[in-house]
Amino acid sequence: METAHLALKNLKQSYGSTGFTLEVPFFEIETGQRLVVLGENGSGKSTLVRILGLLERPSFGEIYYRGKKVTSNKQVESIRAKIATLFQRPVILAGKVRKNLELISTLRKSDRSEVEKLVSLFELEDLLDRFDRELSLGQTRIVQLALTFLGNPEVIILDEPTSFLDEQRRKNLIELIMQAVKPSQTLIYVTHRLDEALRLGRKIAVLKNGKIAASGSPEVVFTSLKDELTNLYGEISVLKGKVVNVENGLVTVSVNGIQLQGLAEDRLNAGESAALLFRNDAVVLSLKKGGSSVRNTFEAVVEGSEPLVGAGGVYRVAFKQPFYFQALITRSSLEQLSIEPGKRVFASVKASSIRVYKSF
Amino acid sequence: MASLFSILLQGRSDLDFLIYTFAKALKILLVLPSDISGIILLTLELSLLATFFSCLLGFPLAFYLYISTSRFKGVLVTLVNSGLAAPPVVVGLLVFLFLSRQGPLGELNLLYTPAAIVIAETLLGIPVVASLGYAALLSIPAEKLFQLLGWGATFKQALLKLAVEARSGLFAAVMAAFGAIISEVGAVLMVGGNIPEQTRVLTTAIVVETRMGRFERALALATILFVLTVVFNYFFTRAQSSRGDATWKQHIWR
Repeated sequence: METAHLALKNLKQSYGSTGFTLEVPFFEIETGQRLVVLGENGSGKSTLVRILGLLERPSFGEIYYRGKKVTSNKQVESIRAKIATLFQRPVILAGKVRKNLELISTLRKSDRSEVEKLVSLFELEDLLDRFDRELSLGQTRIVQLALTFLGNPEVIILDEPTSFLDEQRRKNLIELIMQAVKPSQTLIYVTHRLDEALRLGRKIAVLKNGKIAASGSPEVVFTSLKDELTNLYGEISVLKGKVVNVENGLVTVSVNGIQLQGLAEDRLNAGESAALLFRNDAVVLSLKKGGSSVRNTFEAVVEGSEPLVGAGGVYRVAFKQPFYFQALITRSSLEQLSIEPGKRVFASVKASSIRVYKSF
Repeated sequence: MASLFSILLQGRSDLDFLIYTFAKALKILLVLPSDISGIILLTLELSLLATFFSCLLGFPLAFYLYISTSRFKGVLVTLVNSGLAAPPVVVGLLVFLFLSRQGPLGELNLLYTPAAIVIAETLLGIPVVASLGYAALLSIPAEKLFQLLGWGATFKQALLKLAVEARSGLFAAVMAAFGAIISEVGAVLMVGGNIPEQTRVLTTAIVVETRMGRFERALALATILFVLTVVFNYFFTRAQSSRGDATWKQHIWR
C-alpha cells in the first residue's frame, strides 16, 4: 500500500476558552489528491487547516508526513517548508505586490520564471506596483493566493480561498487554482460552499461540530449525509454525470444512463464530468408520463418516505433508481400516488431548476 | 491709568531680562566653550549607549511577550507597563544601593562613574522599549504571522518579517526610550554625582547652572538638549514614515 501524504491519528485539539474540540480518529490524504473539506462556520475547518499545515501543535494525537511521524520542532520546520497554507483572512506583507513576490520567492527558493508564470496566470500585472494598503480585500486575496503557490510546495492548503471575491471572480478563481495545481501536488481545499465542493471534490470530507461526519466521493458523501447537508444547504439533491452536449447554456448530462438537461453554471464541454444540483421541491411526481413541457422526465423507484420535521404535511421521498435523489411532496400527493418502497413513478424536473457545475 | 503703565513697564523689564538671557545664551552657543562641548559629547555618548542597551534587552523582551503563552504573561506585561511609570529617582536609588560600597556590586567601584549612569538609564529605557515594542508587534494582525509560516517561513524568519512590518512602532519605541534617557535627571544625579567633566550631563548641568543663577548657560544647555532630541527623532521619523498609505486617505472628508 502506498503511504499517505498526510495522515492524522487519534487527533484531538481542544480550546479551553470556547469548549470547542476537533476530533479526528483517523484521516489520510493521498499524494496528488484533491480533497475538499466542507463544513459550516465553526465546524473546525480552520483548526484542521492549522493542524494539517503544521502550524498548530495538536494537544493529542499524531501527524504523519509521508509515513513519518512528525515530532521534533526541527522536523516541523523542514516539513513546513514543503507545505503552503493560505489563511482565511486576506493578508500580504507591507509593501508593493512586487516586493511581496520577491520576498516570498526568496523564502520559497522559487525562480523568476515561476513568479512570472503565476503573475500572468492570476493576472497580477497591473497590481505589481501597488502597495498592500492600496489593494481591495479581493485583490489582496488573489495576490496572497499567488504567493501561496510559489516554490512548488508539495501540499497546498487553501482555507476559503474564494471569500472576499465577487461572484464572477470566484468562479474564475476555481479554474485558476485547478490550472495552478500540478498533478504531483496535493490540494486540500476548505470551504463552506457546496458548489465549490461539487466543482472540486473527487474526495470530500464533511466537518461537523469538530468531527469528520463523512468522507469519500461526492456521491457517497451526499448520500450518506443527506440530513446534515439538508440542514446546511436546504433540501437539495446532488447528482454526478458526464456532459453529453452543450447548447446555448443548456447542458445535457448523462447520469446513470438517463439524460438530464440543466443550466450551465460553468463553461462546460462534452465529455467532462459535471455535478447537478436541484432543490427537492422542484421535483414533480406523477403516475403517467408526459403532458407537460418539462424536459427531464424519467421513471424512478421509491426507496422510502418520511415526514419532514417541522413542516406539517410535507414528506420527503427518496428514490434509489435510476440514481439517488429526493423529492418533497404533500401528504395528499403521497396518498394519491400511493408512495411506498419499490413503487415506480415518473419524476420531472424543469431544466431551468437544475444547475450544472463543472466537476474537476 | 498710571498703574497700568507701571505694569507694562514692569512687564517690559521682565521681557528685557528674558531677551537679555536669550541673547547671552545665543552667544554661548555660537562660541561653544570647551566645557559645554564636553558635556554635549558625554551626554550623547551616554544616552546613545543607554538607548542601545535598552534596545538590546528591551526588544527581545517585547518579542518574548509577543510569542509567550505563559500563564504569567499577564503579570509580566503589567510589570513592564508599570516600568514605564517607574519614578526615575526610585530606579536611581536602587542602582545606588547596588553600586554603593556596601552594596552587592560595590567592589566594581562604579558609583559616580559614567557606567553607573548608563546602567540606571538602561534600566529606565528597557520598559519603554519593551512596552512600546510589544504594543507595536501586537498591532500587526496575528494572521500575518500564521500566513508567513504558511508560506514556509521558519519561526525566526516570520518574526523578523513581522518586526519589519511593525518597524514604525518599533522606531517609536526607540525614540521614546531615547527621549526618556536623554532628559533623565533624578537617577543620573544620584548615581552619577554630577561631577564636572566626568559625570555631568546636559540635564544635571542645567540644574546646577540654574541653581547658581547662570541662566544664560542653563538656557544654552537646554537649547542644545532640545536640538539633540529633535535631530535624533528626525532620523528615526524619516525611517518610520510609512509609504503606500491608502490613496483615499488624502480624500477623507473630515
